[in-house]
Amino acid sequence: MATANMKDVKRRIKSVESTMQITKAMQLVAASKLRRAKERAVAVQPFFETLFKTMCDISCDYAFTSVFTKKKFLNSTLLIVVAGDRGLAGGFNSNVLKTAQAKADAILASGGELRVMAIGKKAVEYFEKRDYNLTDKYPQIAEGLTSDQVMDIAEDIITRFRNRDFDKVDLVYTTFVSALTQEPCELQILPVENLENLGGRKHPATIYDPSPEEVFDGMIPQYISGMIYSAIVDSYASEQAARRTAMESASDNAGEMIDNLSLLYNRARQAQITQELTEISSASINK
Amino acid sequence: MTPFDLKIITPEKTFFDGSTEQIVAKTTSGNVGILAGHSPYVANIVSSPFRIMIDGEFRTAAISGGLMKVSQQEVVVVTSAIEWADEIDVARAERAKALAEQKLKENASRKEFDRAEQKLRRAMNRLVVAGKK
Repeated sequence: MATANMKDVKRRIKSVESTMQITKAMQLVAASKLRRAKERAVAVQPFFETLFKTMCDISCDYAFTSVFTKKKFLNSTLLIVVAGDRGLAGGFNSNVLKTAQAKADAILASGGELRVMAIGKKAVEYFEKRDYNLTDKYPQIAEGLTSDQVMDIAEDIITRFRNRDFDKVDLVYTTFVSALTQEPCELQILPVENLENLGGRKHPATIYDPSPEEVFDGMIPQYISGMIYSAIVDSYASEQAARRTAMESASDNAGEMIDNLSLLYNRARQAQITQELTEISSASINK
Repeated sequence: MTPFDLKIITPEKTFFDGSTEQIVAKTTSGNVGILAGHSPYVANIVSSPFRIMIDGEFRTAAISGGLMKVSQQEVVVVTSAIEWADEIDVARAERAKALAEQKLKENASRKEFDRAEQKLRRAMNRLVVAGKK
């Protein structure tokens, strides 16, 4: 074992140590952001539930129709993809983008037209690199998201939906299952589906002003913005959770690596001392 | 007046959860006042001042579009944004208004025109409620 080797090992220990400092810091930052993100994700629930329940009520009370529930010949789809703004979050971005890619391929394979709306910097980069019809980009909006911003997006979608720019809207995002599990999932936004007929919950005496159809259509902007808002918030919480887990294991690995390298270093040092001693003693004998 | 329960929910939080004696809101078909014991009623609310009577006095908030649902037990209002008159960020509303007006003058595409008009309406509503216009 030469001194050069010892220097190398020492340098590696130093570099792993500084990396570990960074991953530790990122872990702590992600943990505190996760707490806030989770609060936001929970706060949006009542809003969405009320809207959805009212829509269900309207749809089962009357023999009503709306452009937003009609299933048409589906030949043009808007795919909304929500991913993160930054990397270093384990498989978070690649998982959701893989799901989105599969969805996009399925749409194209069935002969449909595809438009992509990318939310989050990583989604924008991914679809820019590939040959997709990327019509809208919203990078870096997740962290300080306001409902006004989402309202703009929702109104834009509705205008284009009414103009027959597309007749189906799908959403791919990551849902927060627990601090350790986040799952990519897909959701159909338009046409509105799954309006459950909550049996026996009819309110025939309800007055809809001016008419059930118009109230329903008037709710659509709120409904869509609520859906997109909760998807972005949900995805943001997932991103922080994924990053926290990834950084935690990175820090653990770094610690393990430092232990191994220290062992190697000490061994080399010991070998050097032994060798020097041997040299000194053999030199004195030979005198 | 008999009080009744009112809940105002936004995506960010529950804005108001308490009792009130009367609310006045602007729906797509005009101003509507709701008192206790109103029959079940559902309507869309447009960007407008939203007034809530508490202890005989009206408090005003700027609401930007939403839904009002009156049932036997309570009134639920869901909206994307609502602020009390004294909580409105006047500077921000002024900026939004100036920006929207500029967009309208630029003779942009139909889509952008509509969006700018919506924004202008929301900004104007906030300014009106804040008493700055």
